[in-house]
Amino acid sequence: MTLPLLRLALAAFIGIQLTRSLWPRQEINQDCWLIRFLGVGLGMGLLSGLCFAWLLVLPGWNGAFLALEISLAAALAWVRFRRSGIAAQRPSESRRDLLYRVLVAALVLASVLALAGFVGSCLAKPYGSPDAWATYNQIAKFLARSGLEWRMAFSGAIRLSAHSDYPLLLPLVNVGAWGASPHQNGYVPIFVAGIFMASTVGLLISALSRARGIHQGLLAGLVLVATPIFLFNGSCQIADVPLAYFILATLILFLAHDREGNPRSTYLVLAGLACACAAWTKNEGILFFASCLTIRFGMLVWSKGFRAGLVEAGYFLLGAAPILLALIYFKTSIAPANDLVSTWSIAGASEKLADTGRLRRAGVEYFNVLALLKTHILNIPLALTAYLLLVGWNIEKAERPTLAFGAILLASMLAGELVVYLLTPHDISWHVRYSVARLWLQLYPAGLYLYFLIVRSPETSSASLGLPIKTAFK
Amino acid sequence: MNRPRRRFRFYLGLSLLIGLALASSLRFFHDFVIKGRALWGKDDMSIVAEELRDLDLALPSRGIISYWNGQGSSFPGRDQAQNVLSPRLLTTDLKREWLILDRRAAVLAVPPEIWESYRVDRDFSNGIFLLKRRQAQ
Repeated sequence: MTLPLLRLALAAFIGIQLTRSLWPRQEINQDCWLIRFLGVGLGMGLLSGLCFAWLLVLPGWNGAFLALEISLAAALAWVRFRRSGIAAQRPSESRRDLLYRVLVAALVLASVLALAGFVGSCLAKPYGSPDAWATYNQIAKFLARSGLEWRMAFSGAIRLSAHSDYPLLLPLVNVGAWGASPHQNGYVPIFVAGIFMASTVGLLISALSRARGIHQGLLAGLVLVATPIFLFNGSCQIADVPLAYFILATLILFLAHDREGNPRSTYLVLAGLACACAAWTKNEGILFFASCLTIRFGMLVWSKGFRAGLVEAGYFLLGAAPILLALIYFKTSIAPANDLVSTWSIAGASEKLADTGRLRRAGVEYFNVLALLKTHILNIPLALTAYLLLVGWNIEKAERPTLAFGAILLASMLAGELVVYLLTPHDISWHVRYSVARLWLQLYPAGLYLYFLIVRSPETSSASLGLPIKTAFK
Repeated sequence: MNRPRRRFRFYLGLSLLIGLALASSLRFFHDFVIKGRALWGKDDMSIVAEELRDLDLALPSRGIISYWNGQGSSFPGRDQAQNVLSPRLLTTDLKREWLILDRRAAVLAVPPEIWESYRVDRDFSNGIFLLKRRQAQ
């Protein structure tokens, strides 16, 4: 188990160093946790991209792949060494007021309980949910064991998995961790699932702490850690939590770009990489990538002109290129046709879209899933609405376009997925009921991020209400 | 709205959200650790992995193997076996050198063409049989 963990740590190190090397120097110390949590996920994405390139060029796993990873890590460590000593110091003001202590204690308690629940869930289902062992882990195992015959996993003649067309980020992260080992340790997919869950929580907390203060970050983290659907699906070893992570990371990087008075193009490069990783994780991520590119640069062309939009799109696509090229090659040359798309025709699609009965059935099931967010005790929609009404909201004028972009993006994802449901060849009620909860989950951390950017933070309220709250990070 | 009232609303909101979040965490812990302990390590996939361990050792390390369980390629029987026996590929056609006859679920009537083309190479005594194609006369 030690060697797979070391390989994952190496991938995380590469991601962190890459993110750090692209981050503005004067912000590095202040954003150190944000950089780390972004780097861990991006490192996993890069590991899977590297594994895919390796499969294409030199199929089979041996020490040379590890040597390549170590060389890359060493090169990035050298870049870090060259850039060290210039960063600004972290603010030293204490932030240990009573509310901070209460929130930390609550988050620690909730995290311990969530960890125990995660372990319990993994012990009950060590192979993950059927979607995990029949798709992601199935493909990962085959790619790790099959050597030169790895393309047979995607052969149309003999079906390895019902979803062999799914993008390969998650299977290849597992393959990258297993490396040349003759036995594929079953704990690796569990560990990868845990990494993405923890990174999603950490990313949400660190990004909101940066934007709205530490109290707001801790509160958002607490709500996420306490959401049963997030914890349960995270332990299932499926790709929805990793996709949620990359969607959240993309939004955070766009906001970081827009927050700057003198925006850095490197944020856009990282946003492109995160967005491409989302597309490399699941087919829904491809819809996210297309929506992101269209909406973001449509809004930019409308507000700043075509040239500005083109420049931003160029940086975004530059960051996305390595993973995007892998995805395009995989989808066009290797993957079998998707079961939803392969039966589409213009006539059939028009007929299905015009059928109001299908729309009604899909709509009912679509919004029924909100009920899933209120399972157990924490009724997420009700609790968040009540909280918003009690503490109020505060939207800064300069942030309105970015928040509007985020909200339109998430709404467009829901609308796009609704269209996919309307066109499904399967029974529409069954299909929506079977999968829609996970679609909401993919957008849930990003939705929480936007929500806590809008809702008034304890730091913002402290001055007007005379609260005993320190505001070190504002 | 006066300041004390707004402060009260602020603290009420925070207390409600923190309290609900902790209660939800406790419930998740209860469901998956306290109540769920009885299920640890007993899911279908773990059982199948155990049942197919000897078969995994008996099969050639690579190649395409026929698989028959009377249910075609329907989920989950073939997919579970495929997961355990990877990197072999399991197919439901009956044209391969080796055939896995999976009769764990029920005593199924095996089609006569299987017995015409294959002979039992090994019986794993748990409803799993490894069959080898008969040599042409």
